[in-house]
Amino acid sequence: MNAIKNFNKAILPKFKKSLYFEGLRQLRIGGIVLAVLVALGSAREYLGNISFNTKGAFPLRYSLIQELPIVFSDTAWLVFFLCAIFAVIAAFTLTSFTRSAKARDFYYATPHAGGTLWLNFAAACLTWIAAGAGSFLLVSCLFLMPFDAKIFGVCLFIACNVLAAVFMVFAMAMLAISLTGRLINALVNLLGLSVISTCVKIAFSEGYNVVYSSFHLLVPSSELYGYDPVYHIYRRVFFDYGGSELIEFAPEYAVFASWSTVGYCLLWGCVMLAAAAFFMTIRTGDSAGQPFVNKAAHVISLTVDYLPVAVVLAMILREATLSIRDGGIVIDGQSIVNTLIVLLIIFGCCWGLELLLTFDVKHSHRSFMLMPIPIALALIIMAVGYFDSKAEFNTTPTADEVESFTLVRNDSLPDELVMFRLRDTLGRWVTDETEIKDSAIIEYATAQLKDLSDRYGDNFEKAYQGRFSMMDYDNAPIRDGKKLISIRLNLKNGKRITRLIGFDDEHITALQNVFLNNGEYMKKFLALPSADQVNAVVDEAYGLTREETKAIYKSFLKEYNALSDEEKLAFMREAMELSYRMNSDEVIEGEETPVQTVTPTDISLISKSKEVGQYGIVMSYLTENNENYGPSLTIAINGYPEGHLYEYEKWYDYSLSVRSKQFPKTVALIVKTCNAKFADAQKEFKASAEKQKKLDYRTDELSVAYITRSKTLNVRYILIIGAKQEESVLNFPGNKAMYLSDDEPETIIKEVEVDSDAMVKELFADIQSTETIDFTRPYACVRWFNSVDDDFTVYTFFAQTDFPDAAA
Amino acid sequence: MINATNVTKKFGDLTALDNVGLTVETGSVFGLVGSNGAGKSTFMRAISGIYRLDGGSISIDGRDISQGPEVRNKLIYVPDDLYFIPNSNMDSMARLCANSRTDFDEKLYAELSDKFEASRKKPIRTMSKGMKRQAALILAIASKPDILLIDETFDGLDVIKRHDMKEILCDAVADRGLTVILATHSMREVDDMCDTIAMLHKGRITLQSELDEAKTVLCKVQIAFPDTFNQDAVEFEGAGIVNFKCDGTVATVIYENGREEVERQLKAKNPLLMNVLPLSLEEVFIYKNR
Repeated sequence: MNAIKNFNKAILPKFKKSLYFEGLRQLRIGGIVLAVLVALGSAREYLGNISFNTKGAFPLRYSLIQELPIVFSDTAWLVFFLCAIFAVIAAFTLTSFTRSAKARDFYYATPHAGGTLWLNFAAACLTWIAAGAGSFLLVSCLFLMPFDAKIFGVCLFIACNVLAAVFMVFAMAMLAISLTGRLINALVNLLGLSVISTCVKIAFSEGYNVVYSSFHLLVPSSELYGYDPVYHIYRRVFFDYGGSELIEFAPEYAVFASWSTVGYCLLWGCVMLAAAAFFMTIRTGDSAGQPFVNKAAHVISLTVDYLPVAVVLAMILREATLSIRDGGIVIDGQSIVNTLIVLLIIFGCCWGLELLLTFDVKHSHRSFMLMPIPIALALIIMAVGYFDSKAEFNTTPTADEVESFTLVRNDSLPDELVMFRLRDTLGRWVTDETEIKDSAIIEYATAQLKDLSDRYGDNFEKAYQGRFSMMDYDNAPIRDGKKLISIRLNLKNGKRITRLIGFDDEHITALQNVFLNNGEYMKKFLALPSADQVNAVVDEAYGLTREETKAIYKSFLKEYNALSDEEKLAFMREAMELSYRMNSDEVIEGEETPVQTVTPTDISLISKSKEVGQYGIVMSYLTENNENYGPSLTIAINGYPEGHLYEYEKWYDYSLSVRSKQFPKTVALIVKTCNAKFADAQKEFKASAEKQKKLDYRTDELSVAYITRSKTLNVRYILIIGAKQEESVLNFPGNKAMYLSDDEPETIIKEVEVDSDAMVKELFADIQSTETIDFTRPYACVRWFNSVDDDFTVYTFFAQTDFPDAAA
Repeated sequence: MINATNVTKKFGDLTALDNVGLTVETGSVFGLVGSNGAGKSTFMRAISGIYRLDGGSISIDGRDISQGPEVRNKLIYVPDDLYFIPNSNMDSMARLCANSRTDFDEKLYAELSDKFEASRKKPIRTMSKGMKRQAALILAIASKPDILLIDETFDGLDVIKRHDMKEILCDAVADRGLTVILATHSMREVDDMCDTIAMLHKGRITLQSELDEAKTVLCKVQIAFPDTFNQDAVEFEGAGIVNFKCDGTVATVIYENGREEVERQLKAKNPLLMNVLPLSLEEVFIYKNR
């Protein structure tokens, strides 16, 4: 007994400084290259973003803060990718003694247990990975902290996020390695573990229902499950990291809501690393080069390796043998034939995998014996899905059984309810804290649920009865004319269930009224933060300073607070109409501002195109001169309470349109402030006017649009002198002259590529001989973005006009 | 002292070591000889703790090697197929040795490298087979082990370096009681260096003895009779002839018996001539294992 005790004690992994440093030393080149690549890659992304922002119409500081999720998602993905690749390569490099007999003979003959070697080398790998993440943190701080020192918290958090995700990848690689003595088996293990990690993540994430049903297993529809954040460990884990999903679904949450992701990655990573440590501790040198190191590892390896096969099999079995309806597809045919095909596929998979794992053609018939593994796993998956679905069908409460319900927050609330989630703090209040007890709505919701359950339940049973024809299924449209909202029903027996219910217009209005009639909610909803609470006021129009916009905001607040609740609500609704948008990159002309009312006859001057703020000036000018809209200033307010920079849910996010009719004093202040800005712009433009006369149309910085009447031709024409700029939305396709009809000024008669110096000179001569340009008057410009595939054509026109005087 | 008792190691259906038992005294040079696949390398790995035994035990200075890696703290194994970190040079391997062992002697390493004119900065992958072996031996000796296991000892080394290396090993044995186990096919190396040898054949020990004694386990006799004769003429009860080669009236015979018994028995047959010839270790190995 003592011997066993001593033996175990002796082989327990120990930290040895010398071995740890040896690991660091062996990886030093890779580690340093990683840190440098991460630093350069991050720097490049940041420079790109800063460069992009300086070219845009936004003040750099605030736009960067505003776009942090995008900035970080671009950068963090790159860092994750580099670090993850390094982690896998480093893990395989330092554990060569588990696979190569030569390395085994060296390392296992040292006075260190295999577990000790593994532990110290793993620590070395992690240190270099941490150095990579540290390099990312350093560069992030260097580039972003000058804009706001509080960004450090966000930078640190993102670095932790990346580190945790890479840690999980590393742990996966280590476990994959520890289970076998061969490279190919380790790689297959890694693939299997990746699938398992994704499944675990799916099971605990918001994507649970969506992904689950898209696997076409046994879940008939996500409607039955709703979108329930109860399952959340929030959204971002390893595989989401691999793509743009970091921000794709909800930029407003993006990286800021993923402490839970860090937790998941660390926890799951630790579990895998502990398992790896266990297997490394009990394995001996004999196993190097062997497919399986011991019986336990053999069983785990096979399960891990066969899991992806089993998932696919579950899908095929369901489709081919049970004819389950999925996505409207039903496979017609004989069940026996389909079953035989499935069995053939299973055997093919098993045989291929066995061959891959053992390289033993002679004994690959053993794969027959392995067939039960994927079949059993597939059946387990199907059974779990079946009983899970059955349980859902059977939970269809009546209106009497429902105490109340709450809205479940997600990104697909219909527009009518969008205003109720305008701010995330309110969004939480709406979804988590407001129990709706309106009996009519509950009656409606439960009736919808019953109908839903009946239809799917019926289809479900038919599927298991082996009905193959689409006609057998009740495909009556459930969503038509309705808006889908996830609700959580709180039953009288204490149980809570979440379902996705289609609401018609009448009941959407009823839902709206629930909130409108709630005094406590409206009080919260209509209250705006004070100017002192707001950390960043972003003016996207006039290029105003923070102080100027704050002053305008203060004036606005004063007038706003004097309004009645009805007036405030009306303002809020209108503001929403005007400023609602998905993403700051997606500025759609004509929707956000009524620029379509401009005709070419309004445009009388030419100028450079990239003056910061000009676009906004014209937008504002056009808006102010449009009788439908009246003068307005759109101000986006992004704020965060002290100490909550990385908790995006606590950020303020308003977009306000200020109108003269409602807020005359504020508008007067806006006009005064903006005219002062125009004066500055005039001075600046005067200085550049001289340069304008010496146009060098070939420089990258240049892009000029002329609209004028030709001296020689009896048509108007616009000459676009463009310059190609890579990697920017301001990507000019080239130089072009467009001839416009005199009678119909908006009609382009023909377009000519301007591809020679002589032609440019000729066109310039033509223009300069017709009109005189007064650069000293206030000017404004507007851009049209024409998008064909990914190529943007930017047309820039400048309008010269007198802006409304402040006094007026 | 290394003591192996009933050591058994199996790889699937193959029994690589079958109840092997032997003892290696501290401060001796022990030769392990055997045919291809006899189990020499397996036995070396078993002593090194690389393999887990299927039966029996191995102890070093009274401590069972299964008690943990510390037991082999002062043991170094230089395998036949050498391992070097990819793209490493001798210096980086020296640092690996220094980091994984406690007694690595930097000074000795420098001295040996100079003595053998080894290129310490040259990537090992560009070295010849002999130079790689030389590098491995320098690193092993500089690690100052108490027990040094060398598989295919001087494979690839030229005559001079082989001689120098032998000297260094012998000095270490004499000076600080280094125990060396050589696993080799080369009887000459064993003859030159070893005090004791063991012969392995198909996983079993066929002979273990002092080197000089090993050469007397068989008896080689040159014998002549007046007329031509065959093997029957030199046969006697329990003779155990393992080789008989006759050229006319003279024959060379190798007996399994000891010299005294053979001489006595053959004299009784009145041969014209009878000389007891010395046996080489190679002959002992061949006829003992055939």
